[in-house]
Amino acid sequence: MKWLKSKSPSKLATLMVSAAVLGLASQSAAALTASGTAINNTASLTYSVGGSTQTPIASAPGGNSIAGTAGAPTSFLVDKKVDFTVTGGAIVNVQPNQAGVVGTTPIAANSNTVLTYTISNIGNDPQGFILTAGNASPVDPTDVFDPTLFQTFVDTNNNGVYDAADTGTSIATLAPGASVKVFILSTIPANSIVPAPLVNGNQALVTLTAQAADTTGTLVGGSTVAGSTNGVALAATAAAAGSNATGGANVSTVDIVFAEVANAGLGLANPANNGIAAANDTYNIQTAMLTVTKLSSVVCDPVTGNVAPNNIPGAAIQWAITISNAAGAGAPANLALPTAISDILDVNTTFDPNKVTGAAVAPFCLGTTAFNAINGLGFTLGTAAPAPGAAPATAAPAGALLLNGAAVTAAPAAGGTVTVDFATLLPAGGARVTAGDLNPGEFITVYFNVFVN
Amino acid sequence: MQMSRMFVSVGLVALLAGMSLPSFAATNGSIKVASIAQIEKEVVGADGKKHIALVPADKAVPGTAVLFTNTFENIGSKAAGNIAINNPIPANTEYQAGSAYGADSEITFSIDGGKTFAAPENLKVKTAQGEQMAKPSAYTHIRWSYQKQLAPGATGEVGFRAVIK
Repeated sequence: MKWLKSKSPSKLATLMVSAAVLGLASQSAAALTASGTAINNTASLTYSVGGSTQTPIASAPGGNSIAGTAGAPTSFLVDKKVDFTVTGGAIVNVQPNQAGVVGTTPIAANSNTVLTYTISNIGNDPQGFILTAGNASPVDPTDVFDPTLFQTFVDTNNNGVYDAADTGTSIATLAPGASVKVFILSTIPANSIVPAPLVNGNQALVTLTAQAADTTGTLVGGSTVAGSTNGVALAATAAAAGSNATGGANVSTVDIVFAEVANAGLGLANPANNGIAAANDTYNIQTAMLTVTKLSSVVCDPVTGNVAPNNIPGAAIQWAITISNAAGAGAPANLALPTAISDILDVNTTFDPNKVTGAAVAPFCLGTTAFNAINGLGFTLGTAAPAPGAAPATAAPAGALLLNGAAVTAAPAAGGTVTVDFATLLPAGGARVTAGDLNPGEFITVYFNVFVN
Repeated sequence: MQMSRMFVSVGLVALLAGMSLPSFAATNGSIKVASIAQIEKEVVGADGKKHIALVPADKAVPGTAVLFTNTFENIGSKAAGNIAINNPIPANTEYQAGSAYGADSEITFSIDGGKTFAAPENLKVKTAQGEQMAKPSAYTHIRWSYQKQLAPGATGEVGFRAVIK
């Protein structure tokens, strides 16, 4: 090994490469050979002529017959294998009109419109990605509504969940073998969309598309992956001109080879080997299912009192407006202000400011008669399930009724707007997370009386 | 790039040669040895039909199978005997089982860096489950022992496939 001493400093590298060629170096089976690595092959031939052993001859790409050191490895560079996956498949429950709240960690189901995807670089070179969020195309039959105002964020602090630190909007560089999560936020349409309102179980497929880019995107401060600007989209290297068995091929430069698989399935149609991969997540409507009913019953009339009263002039009619959230609903309905329910009185009726109960006899079934009992300053409210027209179970708590914006303290005058403050009536506590929530399976009824003119 | 390849080649040959011979001179031998690397590619021929062609290893990425072909030709005036071709499996590649070929050659493999060679069924490794046949991925070298004399002007060809890791 004397020759080592007389040569340039690169002989150490020479020895190392030789060792690798001889199989003395080991490599993890999991890691792909890095882009740009030279693959070298050299065969060595020993022979004899006339019984005399000759000096071995090493191969060369074009042939070599000079014994000893004249051979040359047949060499080519490992190209850049652009291979990656986008995975989704999550189903996230949302309500109509729900907006994606940027910077807010989803702490409970239905609390934000965050969809989560994972992008994995399974190629052999660091890779940037340009991210695009959109409604699934082609539209699948199960894809019945389209969210809007998509916003895409990369898991900048790499903690696996969306939070305020996740400000990156692209992937500047993702190492081979590494994965990162990507989040999409959007706004769910209101439930009045045409042709049909959104109901529980309606779904929207949302596609995250990742396009392979170079690593020139600007990293977000503190992140080794997430970027604030996109890199330049990659293009696959065209086949070398004159590529054939004898030459013309591009073996000494690193080509870009797209190797990612196609994405097909519900709402997905992305071909293989185009430098693009995509996956869908699903929004699932899980909302309150409100019904509003309005029933009337005759409380009393001036002729028969409360015995089989008839709907005649002077009779007191009780209206019961019931708002219910179905037992199978996916979410509470919040009825707190400014949510409002309004009811315009028929011109042939007069509001009963004292809300007569009808307990008195016939001659007193008149709003102005002192003998009528007063109950609830014109309104009462109930949260039980009375039969239509039956007396409400609960009187309105103080402050639950507002007249022209102020608490009702006396019988309301005609012509005013009466408001029911459900936040007061349905205070937070127990199963009720937010004041004014009407939980699934709950209902509330507003009662008031009118006199037939 | 070209320079570093030269050094690689110098070191490799020196090391290989050093194993069998204490010294050597750079003289003309009587056999010409060539080695090429090719990959299979689906191409559309002049007839418009697709077929598989062997092309240089242009688009070669991890997972690509590369066909290494070594040819040898007797350019001397006398027949050559005892021809043996020793080919280390290139670094970052893995030998593809059953791919080595060579007419009139006995093909053996090494799993110890070229120190010893044997047929696949005789290459054993010790594992927790006892002695087992070595996997082709563990091969480090291939050796073809040409069983005939190579007459002047005659040629031979041997080869194998390896997959880029």
